Amino acid sequence: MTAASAGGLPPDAVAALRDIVGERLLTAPVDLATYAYDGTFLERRPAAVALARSTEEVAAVVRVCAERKIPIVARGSGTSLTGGPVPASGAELVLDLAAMNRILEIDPVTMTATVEAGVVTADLGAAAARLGLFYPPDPASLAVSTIGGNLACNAGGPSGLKYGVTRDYVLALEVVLADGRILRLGSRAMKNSSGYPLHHLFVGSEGTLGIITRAVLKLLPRPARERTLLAGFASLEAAAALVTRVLGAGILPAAIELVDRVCLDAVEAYRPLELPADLEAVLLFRHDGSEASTAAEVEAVAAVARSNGAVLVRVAADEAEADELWLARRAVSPALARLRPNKLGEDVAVPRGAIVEMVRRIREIAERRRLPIATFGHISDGNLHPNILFDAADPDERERMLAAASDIFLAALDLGGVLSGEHGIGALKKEFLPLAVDPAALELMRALKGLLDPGGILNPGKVLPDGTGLVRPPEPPPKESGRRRSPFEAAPSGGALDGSEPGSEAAGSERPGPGRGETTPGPVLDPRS
Amino acid sequence: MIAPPPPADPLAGLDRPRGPLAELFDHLAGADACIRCGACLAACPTYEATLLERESPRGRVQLVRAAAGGSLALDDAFLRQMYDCLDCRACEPVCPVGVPIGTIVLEGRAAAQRPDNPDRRESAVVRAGRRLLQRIVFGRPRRMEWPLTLLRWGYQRTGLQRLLRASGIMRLLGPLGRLEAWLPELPDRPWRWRYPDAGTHLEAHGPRRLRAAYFLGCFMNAVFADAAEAAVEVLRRNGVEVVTPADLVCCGAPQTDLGEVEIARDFARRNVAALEATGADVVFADCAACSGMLKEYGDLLADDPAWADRARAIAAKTRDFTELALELLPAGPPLGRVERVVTYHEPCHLAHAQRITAAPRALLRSIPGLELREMAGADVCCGSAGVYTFRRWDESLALLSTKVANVAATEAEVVVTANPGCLGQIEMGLRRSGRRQRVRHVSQLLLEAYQAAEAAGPADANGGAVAGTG
Repeated sequence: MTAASAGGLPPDAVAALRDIVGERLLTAPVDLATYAYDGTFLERRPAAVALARSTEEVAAVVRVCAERKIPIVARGSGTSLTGGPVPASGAELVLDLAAMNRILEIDPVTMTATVEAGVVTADLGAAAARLGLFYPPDPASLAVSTIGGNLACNAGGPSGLKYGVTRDYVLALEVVLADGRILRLGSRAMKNSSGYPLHHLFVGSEGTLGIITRAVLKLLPRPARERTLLAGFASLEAAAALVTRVLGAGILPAAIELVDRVCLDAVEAYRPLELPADLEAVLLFRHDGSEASTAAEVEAVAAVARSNGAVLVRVAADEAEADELWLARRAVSPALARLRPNKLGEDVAVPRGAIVEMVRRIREIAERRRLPIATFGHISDGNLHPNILFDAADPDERERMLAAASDIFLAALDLGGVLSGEHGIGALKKEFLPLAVDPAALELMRALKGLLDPGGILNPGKVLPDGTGLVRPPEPPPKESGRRRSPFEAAPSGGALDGSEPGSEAAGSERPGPGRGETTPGPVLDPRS
Repeated sequence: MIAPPPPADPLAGLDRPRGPLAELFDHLAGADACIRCGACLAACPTYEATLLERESPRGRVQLVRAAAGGSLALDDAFLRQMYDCLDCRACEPVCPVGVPIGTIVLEGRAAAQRPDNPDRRESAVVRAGRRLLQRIVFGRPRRMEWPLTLLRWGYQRTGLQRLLRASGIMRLLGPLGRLEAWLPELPDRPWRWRYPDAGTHLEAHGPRRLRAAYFLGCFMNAVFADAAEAAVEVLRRNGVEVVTPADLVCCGAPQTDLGEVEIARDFARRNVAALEATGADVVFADCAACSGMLKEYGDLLADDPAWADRARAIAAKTRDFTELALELLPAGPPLGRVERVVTYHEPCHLAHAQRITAAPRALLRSIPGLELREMAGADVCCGSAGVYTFRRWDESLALLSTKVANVAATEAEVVVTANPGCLGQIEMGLRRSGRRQRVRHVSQLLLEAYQAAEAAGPADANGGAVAGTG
């Protein structure tokens, strides 16, 4: 605890901050109550909110806070799904960067965009599009989320398969360090092999190492055409096998999205799509490129799908039809919200070969914890979003929700996956980090944090474990399964997507992959259950 | 009253409120459905203008939630946030889980204005005066007819208005000056005076296809009578027998807007009775705020056992003029040519509250010779927003100037819309920026097309007549 206890900042800090941001220091209850949350159910009011307009203001605010050990949470649009921008203690100053939203330059020759942290992702996309350019990262919240938040969490999106994630577009960053120094890292050059890539260090650091204030981002030429194809399957294995076949045929779609049975049932009840009732999974393919290349790709995928067990293949003739097909994906959130009052939207990523096994384990967890879990996500890069549906009014369901989240994290780790593909660790998953990285890596992370933020003022209580996390691994911690699997050791289901017979059950869980015998198979049982 | 300290339990965000106004919260089953995803931020004009969370739909829902839970005082600051909402409902269609955000905000206003609210004291006299004014003006809307007609003849027609406006003296008059600035070109005669026998039974031209009750909005009657006449005449040409009850009162939208829900309920009951008595097949209004409000009567009177079913029945029969016209016109007489470039402004209470966006456009596109040129941000509020113009003058003008700029960029001659608030507000915006475009209701363009066809005569009715070339 710092001198600034919940309920306000010390008067001298208020005066010093007012000197910097004036009226833009907010302390009214209506403001504290509205900067208390993000896109999760976590909530805690900060001591005050400062609205920054420039890097210099950010630096000056950080200096004032550093002197007084006032913790700082940097914030964009507050769409995080991990509690990242939610104050951990209530003593925090929320430093809002939403008004730093200028697109400073789009250079069509170097094909770069120079932006402030508060620029909304979709606004950058639109500005680039006007010049025939393309900013590919497409998190679901892009209409609202800020580039600063995307950078802090290394946001991804459906297009990750072909285009990668936010980090892949970072050429240069401006960062305010915990002592108020302003650091400018990187270059506009497309390639950079000059010393330690410090700019990448801050991407995904969730505001715990520094506050990103500006960025130079790489742009690509804009594809002329997008096309959409929907394929439905009677088994998840068949769907997964199609992904392998398509990629194996030399086709690289811009995105392949998975919608599972639980989602489909919910959507059907909410807004009938007239899909066959017995579908276990639907895949949505998005292809981009030229008129001709996308037409050829879609045709090829349709052919592969038909000959590989798809019970339904629909190709969108135009944009309106494409919209109609994507409804199967877009309608998932509202449909799920109608099933249960609350949900926890999770984010894990596993090696592509383990995706069928991961979905199977999610189903087991749903059964064991007696909660519906709907899964959708980016099947082609192994990034899944299991959504745990629950009723917060029932304390027992709350407990089971937390247990199910824990189970899901452990299952992902057991399959050689990671705790988060694109949302970050935030407050929700920090206690699992020791299970997810090498002990030496955790030590190094702590050392880095100590080096860059010795006073511990930058977004405390996030990313690194401190024993206060809401979701915790079982005690005692699992010995074998449920711990990080070395990336040099094959995952238990490494063979699932290797092109085994489509539709065959063996393609999924039952055929042991290389290395499977080395560990305890099956799900981890939480002693609390 | 000082709000209690913020919740210490990180899961408190999941708790149902248990504070003094928890019953309010229970009533708002939607408030805890908010998953705080923030999707609404991108749609909200006030968030876009301020980038403040408390000015966002998500922020407002969370404020009501906190207030209902007892962790936020229902004080003036809270009420101010509630009134900073335009009630434009742009957030509702984008909400992935269907939270009734607009209703929650209006309930927030009503809750803070309750006489038993311990956090906010309002003098009983002020409160009573405010309510009396609502009843005097909106409880007998025909009381607006004479004063406005006198304004028309004594102030506008005499040139006094032009003189005073040019003198700049109006700027010194504060709120009165604003009212004056808003004042559009008034009609020579209110709608009611044009159709004597105010019980007003207007026969259909040709064989009757439908008997429709016209919910004549207060402002459509007294301020936009030309548009109201056009709506009725367009429908009559399509076989509609139009019945306008003499005893209609205000629809209740301004009262809900001001948190005076009880007055709104009272008005709703009176209107339901009047509309029932017509025995009409459908009810229509050419004011989007009215048609939207009538469609909500079922919810408004849901807790009144004597009226709930009757209100629901009227709500189910209600159509906006644009909806009804689109149903009827394809089988009606041919429309003549109107050689104009127009742009369409979407009234919030049509596009967002009623989700009607295609019908008005389809109607305009059905007019031969007319070019509909879309403006940027057609669905963004013009700043009129009920009482917002007068409560938040500067903010309202900021929205209006964006709207005017978007209109100007289309180079259209006419801005078409479907709601009196928007008609007046955009007319003011164009006037203040010295632009010559005119603002018209969809019904007026349709009537113009019929008149063009009729002028051309039956032989050449189909697309031969030319109107509006001058």
